[in-house]
Amino acid sequence: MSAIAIISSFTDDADCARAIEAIRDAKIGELKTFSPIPSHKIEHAIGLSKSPTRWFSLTGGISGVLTGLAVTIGTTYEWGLNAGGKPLLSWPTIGKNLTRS
Amino acid sequence: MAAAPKVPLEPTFSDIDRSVLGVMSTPSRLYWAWIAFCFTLVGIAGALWARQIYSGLGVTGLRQPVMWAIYITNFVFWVGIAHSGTLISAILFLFRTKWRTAVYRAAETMTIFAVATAGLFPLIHLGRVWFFYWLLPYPNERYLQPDFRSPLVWDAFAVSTYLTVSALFWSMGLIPDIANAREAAVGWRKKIFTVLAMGWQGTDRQWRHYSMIYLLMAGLATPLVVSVHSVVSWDFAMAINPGWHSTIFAPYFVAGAIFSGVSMVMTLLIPMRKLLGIEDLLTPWHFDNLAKVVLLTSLVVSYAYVTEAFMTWYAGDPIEQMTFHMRYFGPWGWMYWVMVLCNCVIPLLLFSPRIRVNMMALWIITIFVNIGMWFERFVIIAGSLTANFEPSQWGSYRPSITEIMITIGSFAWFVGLFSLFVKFLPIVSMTELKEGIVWLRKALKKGHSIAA
Repeated sequence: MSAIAIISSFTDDADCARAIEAIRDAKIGELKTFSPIPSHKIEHAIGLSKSPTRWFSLTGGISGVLTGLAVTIGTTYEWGLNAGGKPLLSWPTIGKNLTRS
Repeated sequence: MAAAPKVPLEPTFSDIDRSVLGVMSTPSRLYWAWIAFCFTLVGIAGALWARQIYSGLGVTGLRQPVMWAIYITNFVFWVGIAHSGTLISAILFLFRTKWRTAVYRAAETMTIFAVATAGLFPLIHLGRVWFFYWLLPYPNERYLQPDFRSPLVWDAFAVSTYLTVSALFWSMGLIPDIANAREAAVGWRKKIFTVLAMGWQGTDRQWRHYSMIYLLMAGLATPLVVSVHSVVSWDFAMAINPGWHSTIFAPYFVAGAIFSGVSMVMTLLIPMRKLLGIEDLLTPWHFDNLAKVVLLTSLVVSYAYVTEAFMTWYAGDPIEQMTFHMRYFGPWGWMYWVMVLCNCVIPLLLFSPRIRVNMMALWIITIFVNIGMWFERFVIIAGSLTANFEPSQWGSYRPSITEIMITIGSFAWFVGLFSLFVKFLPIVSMTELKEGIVWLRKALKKGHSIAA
């Protein structure tokens, strides 16, 4: 497959997006733009599908929270130091303060 | 208020590249002399630290009851300095503030180096520094783990999280600019930039991911602005020591952190814009806005001082009242009043719009703020320890040459690292300035006035 390169300059991203849409409507093939700044308008004009990267971020976030909790709770039980007579796993008391009036 | 920067000739993208990349030209001899001076001071401090590790904490002035003094003061001070970077780059980004674009890279860089400086002090403060890893939970045969109810453990986590997030945020924001610098660079710089740019081409897919992760990182960094210094304040507030045990410490410390951090940004940027010739990029308009942040946080900090005094009086705890009497009128009372002068009185000058655009005046005011905030930390930390519950526990503190030189060394380390950065990486975000031009053009097209 041969690639065609078009170089052009625009005063703002809306004009650029319109030009991209015109090329896309001509159905030449797959489009890829190179620009010096990010632009949502260009992004919409290209019409990308949703990126699968977000699933990696979500998995990373959830596993991070679970790891953090596991380390905190696990090490607390492992050493088992009684501080101030509180239960080893003492959750913040926000809920209790709300219900007990 | 200063007018938004007047742009007689609309700058083009290549103008921006030229002025920002122009800063990264070959440094002069004077620059290397400055770097050598900074790192000589760091070397002296390092030698004194080595001596302290060898002979023990006895070489410092730390004696019972004042076991937390200059080292912890420096720690809190530098963590505070670190806060403005994230404030400017994350919170102001989420609020879509226009003036942040030219200053945020410098502020973020300052954050990284300030956290890196702050992170050294708990280690310097340790008697047996080779056991520093005891702060962290790690599997060991004795099943011995840090106590997660201790604020010191929270602190280790808060500061290391902050360093990680701000370093990621900073290096990620640098990628398009490094790619830009890569195109212009030659020789070994080009090789390094090629690696650091991580294959950046500026395609639509790359920009989409970049914008998304920038937004997410800003969202993640925002709670850290509030949480990190709150956790640092709990190192004190969780103890029952008079002068420390107070519920207003978290907001009080966070306001002070932003106050000192933004002042430090200005202290560094005012000479820097002159020396690097980037006065067109960092205009009085930017400093006017930074000065407003300083003024606002100065008023918050002043309010906190008054509240603290009121709470002490109203609560009626005689020991607490005695501690505050000592703080105001005791042997170290002058430090408190220096602090009030620098943090509450001098910043009031910033109410004047003329002073807010006068670079020399701003520079002097922000230096006073830095001094005042250092004293604030010292007064709270060491000052509260001198007079405790029992008069038999009272004592004083006199720093030794070790602590003084390590403190000076920490300033040299910070300024030296910052000076190195300025010459080797783009100090102003080219990408965001270019976005700013597009925004400016649109505004002009619509006929809007550009007072942001």
